[in-house]
Amino acid sequence: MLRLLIRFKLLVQLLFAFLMNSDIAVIFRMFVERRALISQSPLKRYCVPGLNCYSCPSAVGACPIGSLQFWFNDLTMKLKFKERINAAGLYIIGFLFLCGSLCGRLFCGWLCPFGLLQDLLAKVTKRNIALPRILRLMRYLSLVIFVVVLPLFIMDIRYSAPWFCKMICPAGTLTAGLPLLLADEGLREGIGIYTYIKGAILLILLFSFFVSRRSFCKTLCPLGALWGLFNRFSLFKLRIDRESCTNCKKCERICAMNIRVLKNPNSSECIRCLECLKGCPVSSISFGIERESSNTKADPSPGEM
Amino acid sequence: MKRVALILAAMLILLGCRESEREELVYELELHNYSGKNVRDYLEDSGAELIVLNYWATFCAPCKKEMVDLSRLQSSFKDKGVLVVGASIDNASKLSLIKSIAGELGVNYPILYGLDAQFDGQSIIGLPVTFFINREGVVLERVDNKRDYSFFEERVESFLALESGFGNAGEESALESSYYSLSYSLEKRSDSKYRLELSLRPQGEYYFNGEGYPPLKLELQELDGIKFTPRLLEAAGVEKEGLLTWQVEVEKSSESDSFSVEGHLSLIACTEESCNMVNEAIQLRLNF
Repeated sequence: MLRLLIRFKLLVQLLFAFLMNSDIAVIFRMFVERRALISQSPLKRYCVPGLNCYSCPSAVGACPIGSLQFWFNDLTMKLKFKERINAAGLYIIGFLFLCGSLCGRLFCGWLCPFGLLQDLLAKVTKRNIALPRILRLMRYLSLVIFVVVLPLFIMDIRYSAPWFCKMICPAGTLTAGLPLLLADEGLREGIGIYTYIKGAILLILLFSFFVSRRSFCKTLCPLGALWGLFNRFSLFKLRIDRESCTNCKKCERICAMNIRVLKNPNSSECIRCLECLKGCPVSSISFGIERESSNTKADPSPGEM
Repeated sequence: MKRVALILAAMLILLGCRESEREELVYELELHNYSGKNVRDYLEDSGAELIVLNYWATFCAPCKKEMVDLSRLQSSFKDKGVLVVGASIDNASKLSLIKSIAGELGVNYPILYGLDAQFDGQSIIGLPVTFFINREGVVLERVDNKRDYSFFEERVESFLALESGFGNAGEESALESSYYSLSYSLEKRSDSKYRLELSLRPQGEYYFNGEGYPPLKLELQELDGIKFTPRLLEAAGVEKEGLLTWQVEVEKSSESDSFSVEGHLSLIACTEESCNMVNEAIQLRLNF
């Protein structure tokens, strides 16, 4: 059943990308009225499990990372003025932890629209070089510094301070910044240093997508960084049947994230795209909940290998 | 010892200067709960020449930054009858937060809060939004997005000049022919900027440039000392008894106050039975 679904993964990704951005009428209205507009759908109060920018004109869900940063801003302001804080942030954090503990980084592989974009672009060259560790560790900096620390410690109430959204997020630049700036002349007048920084980051990443698959997920995505930490403990995990495995390493060649699948199938880098599962000639890889009776093991015990 | 005393004295004097500066600023913040009420009720009683109505919210950071500039605007133009009014769409339960923020930003104008995110029926989606409203309650301009002090200053000055009746605001002239009636009027916006409004109306049974015909054109000649934006005016057509209006921004750099502007009008005037090509030179008299 899972194998069947995997064959249609691209369709599933397209479906989610469309569902999360289905208010297309807004895009038309925006260009007709020549001003920045974003969807007013009531669904936008709910977070979607993916990097789906709130400011994308047709988006009908809220990016959890964006929401979190704004909540941290609000928290700081409320604490400063000794006002009651709102608990929304707890819902967001709880939602993210729930997703993570259920299936780790699965949504990265199957649901995130920006992930879909990277997958599609990678089909052009099919090159996929492994990136050095230091670049891959940047995603934790992205999470800790730009999503948590900076938004919390900005004291000035006059500055919007969702620092990841403001300085880094290429998904936002591409799906929100670009269309809004194209439509609205007033916004174009306000272009400043952050526009250039984000534009540069987007350009660099766009080139890198052709050389190393899912390079954004590998190096910068704070959401993936957080969920990746759950991979090891999530309810649904990858398992390798060591008995049937022939060590052909096909899974490692297929892996989008350049993971040593046989050594560490539930690595924090794994986006659970399940292509290794699809590609394994002897079907040794499985994804699911642990059953006591099976002899599949998630990680090799010290005696083996 | 003498030097130390001099330095201390200088410091005290400097500190003293700062203190008195702060005392001169009059803190005119008033907060009014307008939940369920109409902003218009407050504006009617204000008695101001020009109202700058600024919609904001406690969660909108660019709004708060703009409010600092608006406070500066209020102090600069208080004597000229300009009133800045803050309109917060926050719920009335947020009163103490609004107070804290207004205090922190140094707001010196009245704030209405608890308002709906709409004005005159127009919904307000993005913040901040600023409306310039004249003595009669007419909305002169709606500005979306955050602006800076120099923008507000320029706008307020030009609206004040407009409202005090500088120049021949609204004086109309017209050109008539058997096919069309072209009326135009010139309105002063600021020192060298004017707005020329042109209205083209077909006479009688005629309609202009129907389906299948090229667009109708009115071209204003280039002149030294005046700049028209745009200079070439086009439209797909005008139906019978319809009205076509154009707005042209005019910038006058010459000293002269009266200009004769040549123009060229080309259109196709049709009735049910036949069509006539109109291709003629026209002359507009502009009195600045």
